[in-house]
Amino acid sequence: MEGTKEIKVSNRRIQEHWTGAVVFLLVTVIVNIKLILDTRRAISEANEDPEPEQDYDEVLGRLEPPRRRGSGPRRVLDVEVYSSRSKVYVAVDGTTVLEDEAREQGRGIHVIVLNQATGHVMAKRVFDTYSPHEDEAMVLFLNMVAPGRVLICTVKDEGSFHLKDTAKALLRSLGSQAGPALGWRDTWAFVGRKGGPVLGEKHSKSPALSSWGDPVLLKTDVPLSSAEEAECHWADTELNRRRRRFCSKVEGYGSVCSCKDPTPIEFSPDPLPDNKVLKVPVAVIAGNRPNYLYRMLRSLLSAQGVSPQMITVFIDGYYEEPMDVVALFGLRGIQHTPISIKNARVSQHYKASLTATFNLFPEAKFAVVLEEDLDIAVDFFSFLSQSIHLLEEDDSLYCISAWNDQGYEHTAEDPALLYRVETMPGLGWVLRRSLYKEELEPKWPTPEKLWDWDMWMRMPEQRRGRECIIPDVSRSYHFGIVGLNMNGYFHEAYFKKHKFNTVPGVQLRNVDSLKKEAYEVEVHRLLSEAEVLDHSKNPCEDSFLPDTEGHTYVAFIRMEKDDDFTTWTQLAKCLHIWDLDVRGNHRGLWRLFRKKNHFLVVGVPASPYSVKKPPSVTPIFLEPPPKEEGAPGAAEQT
Amino acid sequence: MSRINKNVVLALLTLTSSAFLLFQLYYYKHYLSTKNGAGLSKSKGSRIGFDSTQWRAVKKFIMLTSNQNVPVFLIDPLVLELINKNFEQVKNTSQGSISQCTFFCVPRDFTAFALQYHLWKNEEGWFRIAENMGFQCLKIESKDPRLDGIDSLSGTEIPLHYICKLATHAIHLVVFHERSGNYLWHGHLRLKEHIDRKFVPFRKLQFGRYPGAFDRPELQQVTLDGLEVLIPKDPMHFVEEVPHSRFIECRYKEARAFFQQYLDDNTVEAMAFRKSAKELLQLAAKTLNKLGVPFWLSSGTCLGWYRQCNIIPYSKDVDLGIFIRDYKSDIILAFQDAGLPLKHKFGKVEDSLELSFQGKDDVKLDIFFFYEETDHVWNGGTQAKTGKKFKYLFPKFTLCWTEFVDMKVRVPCETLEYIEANYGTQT
Repeated sequence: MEGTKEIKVSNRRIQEHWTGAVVFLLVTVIVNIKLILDTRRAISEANEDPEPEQDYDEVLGRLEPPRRRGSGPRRVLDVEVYSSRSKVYVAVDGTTVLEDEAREQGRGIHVIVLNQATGHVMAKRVFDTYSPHEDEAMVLFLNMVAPGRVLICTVKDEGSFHLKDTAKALLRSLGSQAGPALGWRDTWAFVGRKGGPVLGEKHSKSPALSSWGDPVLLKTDVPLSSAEEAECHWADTELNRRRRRFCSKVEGYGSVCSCKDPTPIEFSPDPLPDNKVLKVPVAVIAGNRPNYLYRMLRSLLSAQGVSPQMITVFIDGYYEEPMDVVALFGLRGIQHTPISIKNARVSQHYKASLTATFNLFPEAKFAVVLEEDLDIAVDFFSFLSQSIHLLEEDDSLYCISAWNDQGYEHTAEDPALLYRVETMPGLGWVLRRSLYKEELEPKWPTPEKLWDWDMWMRMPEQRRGRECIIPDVSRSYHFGIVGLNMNGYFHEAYFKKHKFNTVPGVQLRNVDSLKKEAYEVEVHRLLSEAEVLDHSKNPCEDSFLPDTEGHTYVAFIRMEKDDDFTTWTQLAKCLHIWDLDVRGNHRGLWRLFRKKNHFLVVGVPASPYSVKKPPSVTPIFLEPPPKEEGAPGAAEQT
Repeated sequence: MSRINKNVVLALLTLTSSAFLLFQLYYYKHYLSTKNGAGLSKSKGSRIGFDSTQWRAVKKFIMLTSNQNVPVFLIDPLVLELINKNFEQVKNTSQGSISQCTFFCVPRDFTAFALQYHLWKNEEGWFRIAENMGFQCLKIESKDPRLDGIDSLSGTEIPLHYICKLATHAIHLVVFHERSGNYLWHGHLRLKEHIDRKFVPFRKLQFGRYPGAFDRPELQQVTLDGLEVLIPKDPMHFVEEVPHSRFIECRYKEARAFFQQYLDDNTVEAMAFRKSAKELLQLAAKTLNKLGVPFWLSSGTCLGWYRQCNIIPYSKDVDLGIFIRDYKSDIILAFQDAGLPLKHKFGKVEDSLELSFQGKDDVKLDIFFFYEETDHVWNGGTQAKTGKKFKYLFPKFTLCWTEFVDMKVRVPCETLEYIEANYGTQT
């Protein structure tokens, strides 16, 4: 029928019809195929999957990163660097990123690291290379900077006196001409790419010993590279996403940002069997020492039995870099606006941090308090897990601390041994919620009091005769040097030689003998079996203790009243242990190790253990030296 | 010839196209039936209704959360009510075949689940995986109210709500946070400006209109419509909590300003009073909760909460309010058993009842009973010394949860109006 009709119609029309039909059919075909494909996919997606695992894998496989490719035209940074006797500054694209014209500080070589793709300041350091060893720190730092970064150096006042050959060689390897030849009171400004070309350098020699080189102002253009070049090509995982964010912002953390073989940022230490402190929150109190915080968190996260979601880092102030470190490890960070100055500020920061910790973990009966300048022993949580029940069962306890004030390399021996002491050591300790909420928080010193929180906690009004449990061998190590109360000399003298446990899974001995009554029994037993030393010898001499191993010895020293520490202080001084105030005593008794022997010191007659003194023995008395000025300043721990 | 050929071709093409059309129809029908389920697939036999979008979304969500170790539990009031009604069925179907989709196949926009944040270990990758499974997810974050009480702390924001949409059904995941006072708190679902308001019908959400507080529920595992789900052990208790769960924060900022002006009383006596008042309040709350009598902070205690987020040290007593409709005759006995003997009783149950109990350390517990009229609420007061009677009128109020000295307690939501009615506007 159709056919016969068609014939009558003109050729042209048929042609039109035909084309129209073909187009129509083609469209139908395409639409059909598309629809079939679409519905097929939708159905297979919507259908229940018999093997969820498989589904999950597929999902993981599909996690392709949304990579940003190629950016617009190459930009150029305009960098200005100024070096002179009394002032340095660095400006990037008109923004001042460093300015130091303060008197009597900021001497030496200032180093700034810029991100080669964004121009952001990634690190800012000053090395006082007029003073010894600072050049070593500079070498260490410059070696850690990733290749390709933009390095800016400028000298304020004097930077050559202790700039040794290694440092000069490194500057030469960076392509600097003047750096390796830097002379007394020269001014110097340098811009270069790490491992790449020098982008500008200016130098002015000091004409005479008594004068400085002329101020130099270096203006130079720094071509920016693309983001692709600036970033490493790590596998795209959640961890590396954190790493990438961190490494594009800050510099000076060494291998964590290494492209080839970056150091891990997740540690997954072995879980602790029967971990009693798994649900105990950990508060890390930090200031603006991000490199310390980095080191601290690494050791903390490597400790056996750690649970990262219980950790909160409290940062005193709106500092970005410590927050970056916290984010790198995927931890919770809380910033605290400073309220008051110096010690009082630290103390208020502590209060806010402790209150927040117990608010965030309302079910927690305890909190672990750590500071950013501590290394944490591998068995830190194991130590706490074995001892924390004491805090629940013994009201006469104030805290458990990981730190033994008197535990030096030559005075601590036994990682399984615990003591009871009347002093609160801090430096990694456990606080009971009830103690904080009911006693400490309501009367915490107000900012205007300017008190140290730890000194305040040690006061009899707060401590009320309670004691702390400590290990013989510390489970924390105080590495901080540049702190509020710290200087290099002080650290060297009092902290460097502190013993630190590195043995995993130490089984603590007789933990229940640390309870109030049981401990007295234990001490009496010890004193009964102890051999009395020859009191005619000089206790400061090495020969005071025989060359034995594993013995227990006792010495009696003069201690007229509970607060008479004259002889003890002298003894502590000559034993090279903590002597700045009294630490580590329990009712007039000190326990330490000498030459691998347990060494007990009893203060007579103040100590109740004086009864153990044989009548023939005259307590040792050591004369305090005549008053002299200049005892090490800033003599406070923590 | 060519024309005939062309006609043949044309006919052939028409045939093919018809075949394709048939295909299209077939597939479309198939597609529809699997996608929109219920109505079309009933003919399929025993598994009735299992193709609903809700069921599918819930199934996928549960698959996701169990794979990712996200410890979620079901809090959807409608489903919990259904469970309560069909509890026998829930128990019976834990094994064997299920013939009918009962719980997750009612046409709805949302199913609500909850999560205890502190039990969640790997928050990081979860979101991305959900999206890769076909969910479209929205995360609502805010600052942590637990840090509000402390001066000048600012932390990372905490997640409050997740809404994950699959086709036309959305899962509302309410994030519960632990608070001091052994309760769970969820935040207000506040949409930020850039968020698409049409993403889901937000108005129909059951949670998030206000912040809420709930008792920490015990959980049990059940099988609903063939899906393994955690639900509160006492589903009806949870459902009953929902309409009264509204939570208000203490006004910490204003309290700090107050203390800056007036300084806090930190004397030994003030601290001792606060401690005993807190203990008395805890004891009273425990006793009344055991009886199932709802109460709220009234008078001076309420003022202390409102003005300084703490107990006013010179107030000498703890004041509570109770609606007379909740009065139970064994209240007095219960307090006596708890070690709080009755000191005074004023008025009677029909009129102006007020009970006064003697706590430790000379701290008194006053309970005022409130009488509701059509347009106001009143309570009677009697001066102990003179026997003089007063009548205090209050505008109508509702009750909200709040946190006070590490406890979850109620206060009038319209606190300022309440306090002003009590003390005048000079607070």
